[in-house]
Amino acid sequence: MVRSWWQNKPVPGRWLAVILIGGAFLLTDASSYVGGLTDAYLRPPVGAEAQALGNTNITSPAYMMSMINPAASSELSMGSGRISFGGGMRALGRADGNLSMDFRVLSRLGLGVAILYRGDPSITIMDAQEEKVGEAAYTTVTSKVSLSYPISRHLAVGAGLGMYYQNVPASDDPYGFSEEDGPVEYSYAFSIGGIDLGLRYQWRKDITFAAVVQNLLARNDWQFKRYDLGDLQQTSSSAYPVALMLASTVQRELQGRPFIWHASLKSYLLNELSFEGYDRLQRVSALLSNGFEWRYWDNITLRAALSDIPLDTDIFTDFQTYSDNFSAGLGFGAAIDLVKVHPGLSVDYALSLNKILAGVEQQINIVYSFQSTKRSLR
Amino acid sequence: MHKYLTCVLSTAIALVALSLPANAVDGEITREITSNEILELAARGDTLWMVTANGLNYTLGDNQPLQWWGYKTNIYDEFHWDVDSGVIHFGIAIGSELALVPKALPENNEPNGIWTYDHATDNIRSIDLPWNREKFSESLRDSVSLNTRDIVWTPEAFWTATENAGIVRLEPEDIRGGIPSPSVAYPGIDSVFAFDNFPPPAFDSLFTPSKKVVRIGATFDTAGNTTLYAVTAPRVYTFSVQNDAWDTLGTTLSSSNDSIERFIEVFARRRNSRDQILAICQIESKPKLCIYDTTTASWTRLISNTVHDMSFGDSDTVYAVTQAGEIEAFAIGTKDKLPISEDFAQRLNQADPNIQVPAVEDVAFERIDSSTAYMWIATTDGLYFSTDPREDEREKQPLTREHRAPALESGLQRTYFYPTILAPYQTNQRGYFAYNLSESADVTIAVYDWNMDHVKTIIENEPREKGSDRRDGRSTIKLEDHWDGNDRHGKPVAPGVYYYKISSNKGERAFGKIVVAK
Repeated sequence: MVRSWWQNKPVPGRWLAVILIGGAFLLTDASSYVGGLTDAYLRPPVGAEAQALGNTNITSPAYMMSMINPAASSELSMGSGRISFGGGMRALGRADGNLSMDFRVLSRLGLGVAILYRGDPSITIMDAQEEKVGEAAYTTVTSKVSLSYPISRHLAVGAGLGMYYQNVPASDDPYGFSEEDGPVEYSYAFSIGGIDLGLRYQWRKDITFAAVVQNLLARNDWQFKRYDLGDLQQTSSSAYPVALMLASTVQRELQGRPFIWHASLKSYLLNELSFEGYDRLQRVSALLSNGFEWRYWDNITLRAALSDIPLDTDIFTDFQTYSDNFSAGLGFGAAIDLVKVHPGLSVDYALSLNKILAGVEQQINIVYSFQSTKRSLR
Repeated sequence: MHKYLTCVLSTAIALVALSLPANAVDGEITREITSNEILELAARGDTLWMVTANGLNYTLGDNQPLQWWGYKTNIYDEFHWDVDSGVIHFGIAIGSELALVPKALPENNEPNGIWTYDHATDNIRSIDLPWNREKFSESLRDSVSLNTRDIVWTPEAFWTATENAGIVRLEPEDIRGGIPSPSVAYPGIDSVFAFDNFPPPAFDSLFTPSKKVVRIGATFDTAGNTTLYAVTAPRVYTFSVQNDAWDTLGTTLSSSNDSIERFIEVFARRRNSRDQILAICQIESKPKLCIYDTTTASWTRLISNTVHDMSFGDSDTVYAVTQAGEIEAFAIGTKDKLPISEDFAQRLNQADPNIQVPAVEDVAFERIDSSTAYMWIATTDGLYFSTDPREDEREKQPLTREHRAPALESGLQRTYFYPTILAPYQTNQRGYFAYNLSESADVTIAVYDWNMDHVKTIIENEPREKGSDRRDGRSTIKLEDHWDGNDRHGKPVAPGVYYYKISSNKGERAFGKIVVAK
């Protein structure tokens, strides 16, 4: 078999790591101040595994691969795949639901499909007269389809296409002087076309790197009424910020049992500012996350994470502000093999503290794997 | 054992039963203003009734601060909402605290009836007038409209404007408890008919669809002279109660090349043995306020602005509420505009400088005696009033604002942001945080997005008083702690749901939700 030049020359992994992590700062003019951007509902970890690991399972996600790393399904062997479904209950009444299917469809092609619901199903609406108008719900549905291709034994790439839907309560009475409190109206946004690009590089058997760009060219195409202009139907488009994630996974042993350390660095390349299209964020920053897995028992994997630690220029220029605004995520979880119930069946559970201490966030996923995979911990 | 089980089950059933609504009425009796959007006022003596966007309220002006009674309901489902003038009319009786409101017009051709609220007993009643369509001729039976559109009170009775059946007289005592035994007067027929005898044989020949009575006014004096003014689109009819005699007012418009296209509403009062009659007339397709001159039998336009409502003031003054939500005043005798309009906006602002000057919906002036007079102003954001008896509005003291501010439990047990749906993309609107601390403290309010990422700090360690000492039971006054939908850099946030956290340095904290609409 003829091998390409890049397949004959191993990629210098340590240099790749330096470039990727250094690139997080060099490439991004990004900010940890992402609060209020379009993708707020997409930022939390997708699935129980991701939540328990603080969004660091980017090199080898067990499921929801299209949402996390479109290159990941290359890990599956021919004829094998995983199906998962799950949901979450979050503090302040927010809710999650997800479904994913990941397969190896051709000898070298992986396919992933994932659907994610997120929203807030119970919002009490008060009008400007301090009257309760009724209940409303905020609903988002995101779906991604991805293909992955292993270029070599070490390197795989993938690409995904996203569909984005949001349904937001709207005010038919922006000034609060309505003649009538009718049923709550809604505006919605729907678009297809956001692109995810993923790369997974297994430098050594026990060390893997990944890089993912999410929501490239993704937009929100809003349909809404201008109630102040006589219910004029209008459309507008706004962009999702593009997220860049760099990650590594190192496998070791702890007390003779498998132990994995995941690390990721996430930053945002672009910000979308109202109606003016793309603009760059004001500050250089990124979020550093660490996740740990320890298979202390044969059928139970324990997980913990310290995530979303902001790395921004305040560290050097205004440490007081940095420390005042410092926040980080703390999560725990476990994966339990249910082989005795059914071969290939497992359940993931995650529990993490809400970032503003408004409660806890929980997610659970049921995973069914058919045929074995290369994943060492599963 | 069985005894204990029965006891537990009975208690459980009783608790379930107690948690169910006490009755099937849509609304509820309340002791607060039902809404700050106040649509219509009716004042008699020191009694004030008002229709709000969320019900009906009643107060006695001699209570300071004002105490409120009311019935909270969806007014648009319960009360008649007139598409022409957008106001709701009702009648009240002095001393009896009884309000009558036409019920919402049904979709079918059945009569809508009347809805009454008796303050003395907190009794809500629905009255259907005993119309019998079978008594109408076959040609009219299905088409005649028997809907009540307006109600006015005189010392003798309540009078309702019924679309195609003239004016119905209702005795207050009957309305309060007994079976109503109304009588009917129809424009052009100089008689009053008992309900059983209406319509009379000559009705078909006198009936015309244009005699659709949509509004009614009344004047009366201590001598027992009562005149009713029934508004139809082409003309205003008058009815002398003492003589059972109908007449009409002139329809020409003096001092103008324009003509009156139709009559919308009439306002009348007796002063110095003469009736002062004003009407909202449609001229050049816009509602204008006109005054009637009995000597020339013609109308004169009083104000160039389009008018929404009006009220008689002291002596010779008329207050007109424009469709722009402002008040203008005129002297009836000279028809001159009085220079007070700007002062009203100023006085509204002085009443509560923390809110924007609201739009005026209605105004009512009532003089009790030489030392007491009430000026009531209904606005889209609360009721304003003064008790200054002086005539010259320019000299009067600032108005007092009465508004609905539902008391909040202390200790941040209940907080909210209103309006919950912010529409900053459309209106540059901002919303307000309502909360009540159990003790004065330094407060921090911050807003977060769906991922709990920080969006903006609204206030940080700002001192706020405990709410229990304040009349409205909250620790923030309107506009004090607000959010306009922008992030910390002043950029608008994306549409979605946001969450706020209110925390004090005394350890109290609360969370809530905000929707930012597209």
